[in-house]
Amino acid sequence: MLGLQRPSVALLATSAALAAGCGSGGDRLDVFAAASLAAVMGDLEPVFEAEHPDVDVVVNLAGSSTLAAQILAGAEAAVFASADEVQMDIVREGLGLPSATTFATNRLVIVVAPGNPLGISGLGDLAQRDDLVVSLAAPEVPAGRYALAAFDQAGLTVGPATLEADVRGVVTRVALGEADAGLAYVTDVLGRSDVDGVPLPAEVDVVIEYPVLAVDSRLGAEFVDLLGSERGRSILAANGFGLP
Amino acid sequence: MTLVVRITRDIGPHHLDVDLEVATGERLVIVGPNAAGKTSLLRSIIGLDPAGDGRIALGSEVWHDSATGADTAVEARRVGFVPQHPTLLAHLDALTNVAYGPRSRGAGRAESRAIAMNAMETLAVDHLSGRRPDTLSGGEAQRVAIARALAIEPSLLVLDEPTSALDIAARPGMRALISTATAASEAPAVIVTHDAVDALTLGDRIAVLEQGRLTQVGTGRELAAAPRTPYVAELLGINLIRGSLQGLVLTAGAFELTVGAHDVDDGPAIATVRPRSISLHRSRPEGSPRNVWQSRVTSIDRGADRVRVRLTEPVEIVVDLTPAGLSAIGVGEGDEVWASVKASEVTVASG
Amino acid sequence: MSDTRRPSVPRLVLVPAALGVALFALPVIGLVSRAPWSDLASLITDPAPRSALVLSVVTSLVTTAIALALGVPLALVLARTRLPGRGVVLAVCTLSMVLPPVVAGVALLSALGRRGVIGRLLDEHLGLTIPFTPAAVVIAQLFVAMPFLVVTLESALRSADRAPEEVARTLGARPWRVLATVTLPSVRGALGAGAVLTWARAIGEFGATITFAGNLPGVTRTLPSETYLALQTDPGRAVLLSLLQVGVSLAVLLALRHRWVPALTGRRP
Repeated sequence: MLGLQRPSVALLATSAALAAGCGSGGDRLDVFAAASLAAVMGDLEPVFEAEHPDVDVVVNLAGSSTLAAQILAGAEAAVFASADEVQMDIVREGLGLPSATTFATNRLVIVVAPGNPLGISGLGDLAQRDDLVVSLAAPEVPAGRYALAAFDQAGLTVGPATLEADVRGVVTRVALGEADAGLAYVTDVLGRSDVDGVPLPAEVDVVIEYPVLAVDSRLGAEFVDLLGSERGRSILAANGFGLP
Repeated sequence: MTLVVRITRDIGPHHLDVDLEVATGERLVIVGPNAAGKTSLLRSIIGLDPAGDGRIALGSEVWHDSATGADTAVEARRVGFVPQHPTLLAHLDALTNVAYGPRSRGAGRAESRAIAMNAMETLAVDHLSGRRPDTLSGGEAQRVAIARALAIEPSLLVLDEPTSALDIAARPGMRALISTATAASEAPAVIVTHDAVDALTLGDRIAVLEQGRLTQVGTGRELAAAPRTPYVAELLGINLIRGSLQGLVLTAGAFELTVGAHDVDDGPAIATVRPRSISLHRSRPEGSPRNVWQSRVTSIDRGADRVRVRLTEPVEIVVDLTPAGLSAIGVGEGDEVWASVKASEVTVASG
Repeated sequence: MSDTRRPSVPRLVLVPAALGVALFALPVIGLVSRAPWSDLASLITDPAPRSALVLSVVTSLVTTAIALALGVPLALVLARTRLPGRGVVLAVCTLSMVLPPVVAGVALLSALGRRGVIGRLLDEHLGLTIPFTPAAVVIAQLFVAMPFLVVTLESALRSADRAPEEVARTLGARPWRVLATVTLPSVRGALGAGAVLTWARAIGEFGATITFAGNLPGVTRTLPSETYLALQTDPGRAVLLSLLQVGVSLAVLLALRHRWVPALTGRRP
């Protein structure tokens, strides 16, 4: 596991050099964050603004690939927090930036109706029980890739009834009762009363790593620092994320 | 088969109250001013509109009887209807249009087309069989429409304003055609028109409908001889004055008219005068005519060989003059003029 | 039949009109210019877009056929009878035309989903679930697209001349024959236009389908769903798929322009 280190001088220098063309952001800090970080960003924003009174933090939430595309097309992002390492690599290569740091992890969970009325205990049920209507994220999106990886690891093949365009859709299907079970992130299930989560066994080792990168300016780097600080880590943990 | 129509019906603010019969082979013309109810009457007879209280029967077939609740659907009545506008089906050719009736009534395709061709030959439009309706002239389409009506061997023929859509030159031909077509079929025919010439030439009898009621029914001759309403008189080109008769004098308000010899009782009466019998003068004339009065010209209609002058006050009168006669007098619209007519030219009938 | 004449509109009107054309044309031009044509070969051999295209075409055609079977009678009842509640029915029909498709999808789930008003009964008594099946795709398309047919046809039926129908009846034609030989031919323009619009709306439907029917390749993944998903991971591929959709729709609309353009514009093309 990578630990979060203090940003290196090199990183600062690179981002300062890049800042020339982008504009230093002034009183506004644009944070591009994956949708699953919504609650975390919501908690962090007031903390950062309290420490920096004349800064307005603006969070842009979307799918990691959408955010990456926006950044490469010239969007002014000070921070990019991705749920997908692939997209982070695309951005780094596109902008010529050094490696990013992992600030959080997530795990998969089986989403079921409250109280688990159908008695689902593991991936085997999803793959083998014909009576279950299963919803997964489409393999084109990260959550879908991870789900397939989990089934692969367990040596199972699954036939879902529907593939959602984003992982939240999986939870919605189960919450509406249209699907009996699905695979989503732990953080999506936490705090919801309309679904329950069944954890995967420890042998299924699929860990989702969340890298973050300051794209521009000292202010962005400070935000990344906050993510790695005690305060930041406790907020992450409270929202269900794992800590590197 | 005799057509019997007894209808009492309310159409909005209007009331229709009609009782008439049309014998086998007879042609009845229904005339009347606009909004008289002619169209409503027609539609009730055909069955497109309800007939209200009353009875409509053709021979032994009862089409409508409010007493028994009988009401035959339109499609079951064998009415050959020729509407005011030909209304041919635009997406079918002429022959298929004419064959539509027989085909609807159960004839096979080949049989219907044979019947249709026959009907079209009768109307001399067989050469148009393959043409689309939008390529036909008004007169041609009208003939096809008549052929279409005849093709179902109707027990009643109904024609709505058959000549009104044609120009005047084409009308005599159409009238002749209708005469032949209706003569060939034994079915009674009901023809609605507002044209006087149609009425006089096509009708064995004429029924006058005014404001929903029949004001006069009879042959053209009877109507012309003794019109009962101003409309009939106007239609047939006659002057009509209603008044009270005493001996040889008819009084209508302040106007007095000395009439010719007659055997009508004193009391309400109708005097009629031909427009040609009235003379006009610039100043008060001397001489024999008993009836002389002063009036004013309201309008002058110049025709090809006659001029129709309308006078008003004390009574509405039309006078027919030759163009030469008018210029001799030298009056124009709005001018005062003297009118005179011999008593012997004034006919009177009881009113 | 054109002759040289001054344009019958003030010259200046051409300016905003040109902007309007640009609004429609530029996105398509953008698609064409941004398309990674080198990727076309891999796209053609990929079975996923093909199955999505086939599914889109088949479902939209089925939808159009059902829309005609249900919509023509509905339009007739709305236009030609005096049944009470006609106004309400017409309003509800028009409503589903203007609803955001996702809202339509949620509505369909509430009615026909596993926990839906009717869906629950179907599931309990017949073991039948509708979501996640191609039938669900058709139902979603029907919900958003059929009103185009109903509204177009109802308007034409209402204003159609009744005289030919009356004459047909006097000739002895019974109600079914009048309907088939006179009434429907007289509104064939609106019928054609309504059908084409319905098809176009159905094949383009996305929000309701993905919400109600789900998104499984070969089963419920239509071309728009495939495109949306491609956007998440491979925008170039999304562009190519978009062009595919544009191409198919444009080809059909142009091929059938004699059917629907006159009915909408009142002009011969």
